[in-house]
Amino acid sequence: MNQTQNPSDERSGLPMGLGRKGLKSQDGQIVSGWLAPHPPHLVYGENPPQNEPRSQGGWETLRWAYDRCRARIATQKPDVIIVHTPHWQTCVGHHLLGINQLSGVSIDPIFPHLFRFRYQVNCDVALSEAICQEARSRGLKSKLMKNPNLRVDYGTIVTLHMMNPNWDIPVVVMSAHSSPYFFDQRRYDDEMVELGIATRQAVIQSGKKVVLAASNSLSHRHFDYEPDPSCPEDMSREHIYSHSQYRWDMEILQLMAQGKMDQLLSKLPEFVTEAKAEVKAGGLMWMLSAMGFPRTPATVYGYGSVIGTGNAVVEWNPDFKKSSHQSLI
Amino acid sequence: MSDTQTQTIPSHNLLVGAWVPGMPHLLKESKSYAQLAKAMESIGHQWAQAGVKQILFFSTQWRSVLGHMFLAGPDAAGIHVDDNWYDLGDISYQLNFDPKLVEDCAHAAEIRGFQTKVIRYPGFPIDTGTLVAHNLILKGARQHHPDHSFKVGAVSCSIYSDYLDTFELACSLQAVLKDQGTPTGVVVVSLLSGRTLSDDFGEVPEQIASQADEIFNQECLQAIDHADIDHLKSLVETKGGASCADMGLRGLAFLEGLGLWTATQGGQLMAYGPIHGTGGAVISFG
Repeated sequence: MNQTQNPSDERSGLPMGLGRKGLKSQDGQIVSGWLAPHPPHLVYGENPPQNEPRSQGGWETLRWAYDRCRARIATQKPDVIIVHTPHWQTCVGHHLLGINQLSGVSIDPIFPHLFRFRYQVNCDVALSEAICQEARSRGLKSKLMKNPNLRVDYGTIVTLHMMNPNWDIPVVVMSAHSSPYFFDQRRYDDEMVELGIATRQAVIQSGKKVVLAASNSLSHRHFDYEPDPSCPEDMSREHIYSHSQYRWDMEILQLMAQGKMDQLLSKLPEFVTEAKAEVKAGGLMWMLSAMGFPRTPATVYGYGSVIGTGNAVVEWNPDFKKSSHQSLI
Repeated sequence: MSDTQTQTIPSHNLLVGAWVPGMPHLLKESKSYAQLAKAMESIGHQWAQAGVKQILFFSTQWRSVLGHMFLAGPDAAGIHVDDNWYDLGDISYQLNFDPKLVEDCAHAAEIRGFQTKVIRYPGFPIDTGTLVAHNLILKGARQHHPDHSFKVGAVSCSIYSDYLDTFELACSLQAVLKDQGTPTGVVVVSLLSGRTLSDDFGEVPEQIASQADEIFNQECLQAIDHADIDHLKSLVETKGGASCADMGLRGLAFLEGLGLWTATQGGQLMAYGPIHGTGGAVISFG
């Protein structure tokens, strides 16, 4: 746990909404937020010992992007990584893992030939509980998952492994409330903004240094067939699903890289509809809200397609000059 | 099931079908879901009586992206926790597979032009719906036949298939299932309307999530009963999105493609009711 600030390091991060003058040395902080997609192909391409299937590589541009993400996180030295996953969908509210340690074998039900991963997830239950309480106090439905036999979803595992392959940083795992599929996106986005604020408040009170991860692809129309089942990593067969999807991804990434937060937020609903973007699940909105919708340019570490979907590894750092979340709620 | 009984089954009854919900709530001893659970058990009882020895599942909770997957084993036993309804408790299961049946089905689909993948990974996460349906149907089968068991297999529900694709997939499997000589049940695990209540379990009275969803469900049930396939398709097209029709009710296309739901043969409704706001129905076919 880092209880001191380095005033010379603009990227070290401060509690959102407080500004430098409001900072107390014991306050927690969000040091970075990441768009951190979870195609299991990335783990498959890397061949870590935990994953049973073996490959000849593949999807290197995204894996190199994650290499830089890993290096950044190593310098940021977070106490906790908080991940919001779209593959743990909950009908009633926002759930968080509430067990100290969960372990087992995660087999992706969609790509079982690529991902059969032996995992051990160590959770920061105290922080999970604090986020849960904050969310409830803001009128959201939220609860801790305490069944030790739950199998952790592959989205969580892929994102966490790609960010921190040593698995030596405790995590908080948050589910995706399925309401955008049953009600409307606007109502859900409002919830995710509130969940982001609740997360930030809990982080500040925790005194911990935290990295956030929105586990989402960008455009999300897949191939509906496997180009070469005998060699899934044949990169001569990999490409974005359509030019339209590609253009959408580039437009969104450009807005991120230019720090044009207002334009980004106004474009997201159309992006979700037109490119079937996985950000529909709410992780990006949650993360940006938790960080006070930073207007500092994001850093795009890499972009690539995975069976047609568009994926990017992107980092945001806290915006010390302006905390704009209040005007956006 | 004795050999004598098996031999008395008319050939046209070698293939029977059922549409069932797969929510884990059904495994609770709750009067809210007793009617649905009993109906599923009743399916099992009837099938055991009829000599059904194998079941092919098509569950909307097992979704695939790259073509269709066929689950062929290995035999599996253990505890499953639904990632949504984990508070309802662990689900114990034991499944014994019929790999040849599944491989033959996959081969038939491949010949028809579908991309298929036969899955045989120990620990593969079998979906909640398949396990709930299997447990209740097996429970019913064993009420009067304590030693009865079903060999099983499963076909995934491709998210990129539509009604017609699913119909054609099922058409490709029909000959395999009818010709292999063993009485077989086909279980479609699906809801009608799929919208859930937004309150936690037990916080509010059980009811269909909205009046529009209730109307949609009733109209679908009528179309299924009257074997009005065109009307059902029209309902899905016009109202299915608004009522979150479970995977566009393509489970009915699966039953239609297998010849279990035809223009002259409707489904027999055995129970209908809400499950956390969704539309649950138990319907027998064939």
